[in-house]
Amino acid sequence: MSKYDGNQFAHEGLLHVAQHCAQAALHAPQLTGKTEIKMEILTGKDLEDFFTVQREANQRGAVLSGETYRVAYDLGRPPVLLLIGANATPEVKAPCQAACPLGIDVPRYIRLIGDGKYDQAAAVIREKLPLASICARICHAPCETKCRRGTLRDHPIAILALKRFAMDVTSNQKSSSSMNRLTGKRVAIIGSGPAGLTAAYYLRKVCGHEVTIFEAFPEPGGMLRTGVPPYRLPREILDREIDEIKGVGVEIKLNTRIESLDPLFEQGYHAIFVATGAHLPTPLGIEGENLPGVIEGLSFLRDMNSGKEVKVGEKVVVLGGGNVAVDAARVALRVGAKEVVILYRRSMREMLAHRANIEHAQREGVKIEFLISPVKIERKEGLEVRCIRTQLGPQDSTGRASPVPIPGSEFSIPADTVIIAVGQSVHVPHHFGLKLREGGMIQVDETTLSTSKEGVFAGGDAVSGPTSFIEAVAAGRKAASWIDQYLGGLGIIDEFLAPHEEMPDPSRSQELLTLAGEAPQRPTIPVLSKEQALAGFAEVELGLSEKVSLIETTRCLKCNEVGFNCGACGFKTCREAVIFSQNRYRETGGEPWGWLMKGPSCIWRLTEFGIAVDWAAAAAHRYNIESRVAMIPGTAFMRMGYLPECNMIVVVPLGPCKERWYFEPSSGREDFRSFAATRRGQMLQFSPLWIRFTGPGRDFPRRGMKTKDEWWKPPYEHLEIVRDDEWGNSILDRDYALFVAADKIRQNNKMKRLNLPKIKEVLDAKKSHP
Amino acid sequence: MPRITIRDWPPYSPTDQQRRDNAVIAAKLMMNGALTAPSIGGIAMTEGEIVYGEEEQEEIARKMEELAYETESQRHAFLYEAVMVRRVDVLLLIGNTRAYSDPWDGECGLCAGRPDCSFIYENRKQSTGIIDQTDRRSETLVKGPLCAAYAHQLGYNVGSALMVATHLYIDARPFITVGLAAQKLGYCRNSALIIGIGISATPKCEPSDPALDYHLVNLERGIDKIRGNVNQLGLRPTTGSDYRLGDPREKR
Repeated sequence: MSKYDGNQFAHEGLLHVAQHCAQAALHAPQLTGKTEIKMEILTGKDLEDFFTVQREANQRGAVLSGETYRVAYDLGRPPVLLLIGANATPEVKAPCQAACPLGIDVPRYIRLIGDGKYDQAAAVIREKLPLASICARICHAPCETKCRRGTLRDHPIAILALKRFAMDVTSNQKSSSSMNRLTGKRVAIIGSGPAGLTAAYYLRKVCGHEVTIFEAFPEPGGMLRTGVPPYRLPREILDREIDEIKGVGVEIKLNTRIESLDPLFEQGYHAIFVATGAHLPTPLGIEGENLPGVIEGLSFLRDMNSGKEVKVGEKVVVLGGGNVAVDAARVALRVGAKEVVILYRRSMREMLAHRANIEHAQREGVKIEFLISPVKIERKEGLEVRCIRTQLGPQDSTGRASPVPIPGSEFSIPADTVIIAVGQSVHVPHHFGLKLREGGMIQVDETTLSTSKEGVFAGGDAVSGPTSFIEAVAAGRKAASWIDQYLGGLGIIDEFLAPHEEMPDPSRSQELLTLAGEAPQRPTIPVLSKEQALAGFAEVELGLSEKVSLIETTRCLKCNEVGFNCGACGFKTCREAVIFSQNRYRETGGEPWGWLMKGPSCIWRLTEFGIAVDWAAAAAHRYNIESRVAMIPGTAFMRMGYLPECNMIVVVPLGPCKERWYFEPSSGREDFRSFAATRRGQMLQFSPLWIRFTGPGRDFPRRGMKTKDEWWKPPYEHLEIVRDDEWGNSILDRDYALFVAADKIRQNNKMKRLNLPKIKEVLDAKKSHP
Repeated sequence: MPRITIRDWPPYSPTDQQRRDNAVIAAKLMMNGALTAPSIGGIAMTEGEIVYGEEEQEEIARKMEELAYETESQRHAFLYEAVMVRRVDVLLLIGNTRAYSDPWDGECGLCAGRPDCSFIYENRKQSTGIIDQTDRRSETLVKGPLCAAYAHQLGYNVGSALMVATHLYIDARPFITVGLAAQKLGYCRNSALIIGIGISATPKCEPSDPALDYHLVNLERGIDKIRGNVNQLGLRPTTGSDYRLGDPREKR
């Protein structure tokens, strides 16, 4: 029988208690209901990173408490730390922003449009998305699906149309062309679709690497060009945005099919990003699909988009329910078909095509027949599609209801042309030598997008299978960040294109509300008439007018604001507080200076967060386990990248965690006792004690009091008195020390890096220089 | 020992009053819980007040309804929660006495200013770092900026009070709106930041799942409506013959 390990047993007990505490924090009563809490439980070896940061930062002059954890750890009794964090800034993450794979700040650009600052609104969009005008036309708009006005008893805000309005009115403006110096590293990108173009843009413009895109087709754009017809995405828009990417210094080699990766490395490329997309049509797998007159949807669109002449018969049957199917049907109408029917084996709800695309197709005369599955295609006088009716069954692997054939319901539909568009699959050339997963997609590390081959990254449809435009762009951004880190950079690709926002003019929003009237409705997007649309390939959707767009912005519920407008934080309205917060966070790329936490905060959200922390700490007491609440070590965890997006992290150490417990008398801890400072009746409990007489009003010199007065010195060994005009230079140094130490940990743990040069610049700028 | 009968209906009857009195005891214990919460720096800065009684609760509820029409986006919250204030057995108000005038000075950087509390000092009338508390004029609901760290501290206090309520199996819920209204009425008068906790010991805790348009559709208003419509209940006075002359049901 193995020896009973009491320590281990007790430690496991603590871990269980930590889980109970975490539950308590989740169940704590809420005030605003808008404060999301994040938690993490740490113990054992996981604490070593913290000790490293603590040691290094303290060596550089920081005063980071929590030494007791290390001593306990060294004694073989690692404490269990429950990290609780919350975003308590005045800015609430709105559902629309959370739904966007790129995290575009939707409420912000809607607000800016409402304020008439269209160029700033466009800049906010471009910050995350170099292909913004394209996005404004073809995105499937997950933001609108999650819009809170839509989930109430109303229609969602026309976010996509507003985005398009902002992009259209500022279309002649070039994005800023500031470029880093070249790093001397070269990146090859295979495929010029949305993922490849996005990665190229950031790698060249922000990271400063030399980028070459290799494109097999004669024109760049990937699926944007071959798969999306001009009536949805005009070619001048596509060309303009690709030209902008070229304009930052990206080279695109057309008509260059890459069959093997090794020659690229031999040519001197240091990293390769494979973004080849999913261009291989999925066969339907029924009899007769190779008959003459049966064509494949994607190649039909590709031929049309590349200017080749495409021909269809008078009656066209399209099989499928995605955008390719719907677009093939719409194109067929434009190239001579008299009657076009889409057969889809599920119902409208399960169709993958965008709702607007389906509506336009129906308006143009495309018929869509649901719950019909093709069985075979025969050639008689013309073609004949043998079909069977279906009904919806249980969910299948795609999460949609599966079509179940109804026996005996077979029937035939005659057709001159049959277009098959039932999906695309990925084809990766064998000589790439990459490890593939099921379905032929490239296997990658989900965090870094690195493949089985050193220096090769992959993303977009080639990894995920066919998805949306916006997800491909998100993959491109992620790849750019990790390729930059692989090449020795910080991996920071965030751009801040919009300037600091001015506080809004309240009279303007009042005018807007008057303009909007009592209950404005979601606008109908103006479109070309059916005849005009079918006459050619002109863009069908026309975009909103300025007045309609402005009115539409008033429907935004401003979910990104707490909404009490109480003034407790120091700003008159939540809106001002949000603007201040956004401006401040952008100073250092999301890591504002500040010793403990990242301000500003909403007073109520902080109180709400306090309730949750208290419940976690109190829950431990139900199990007769001691707990504390420690704020200062939380800073280190925050800088190390734990609980991202939180502006405050509190550590709840569990177990026998009172400092006195760990330390016998005379163990050298005397100088760490809590310490009373009599001035203003305050007591500060961390040591060495720093008292600063700073800021306006602390006017010692005026009162004839010298800041180095003798009476302060003994017995206060560690007292630092800083003159009014030299406030906190040392604090800023300590703050920076913490950033430096934490960044090393982030690098080791493959987390988002800190922008140290920028942080240093900001901190130094805040120093006073007598 | 006399029998103590406790019933939750009808409201404010002696039997209901017994129940409410117990809720007051809970509120007192909750306040003790608030005082033992983890504390920044171990300084005394928590203030509490228990509001109990139909008139007193009505006064706060009316103030909340008044504030409701001064705000746009949270109007419904003020209106709904005013009903809850009338409905609960007792209110516990917990405030922080230092958030307005004595910021933490902990270099925390949680507020909108530099990490040296200057944001608060710059926005106050003060001399040698001592803030003038006599100027209570304010354009906003709360006279900000308040010390953000102490607001977080207030969360600990309120959390501990609520935790005591769960230990006592009594329903409690914190409200921002109650605190705002109570502060205007002079409760917890040393505090600029107050959270109100509604405490209720009834089978149905209405504050936890209010109906739509709760300021209109709630139990009190519903019952009142029924009382007004006695005609529909068949309670209207019989007309015709005088009951003193004989039972009106009996046909003559």
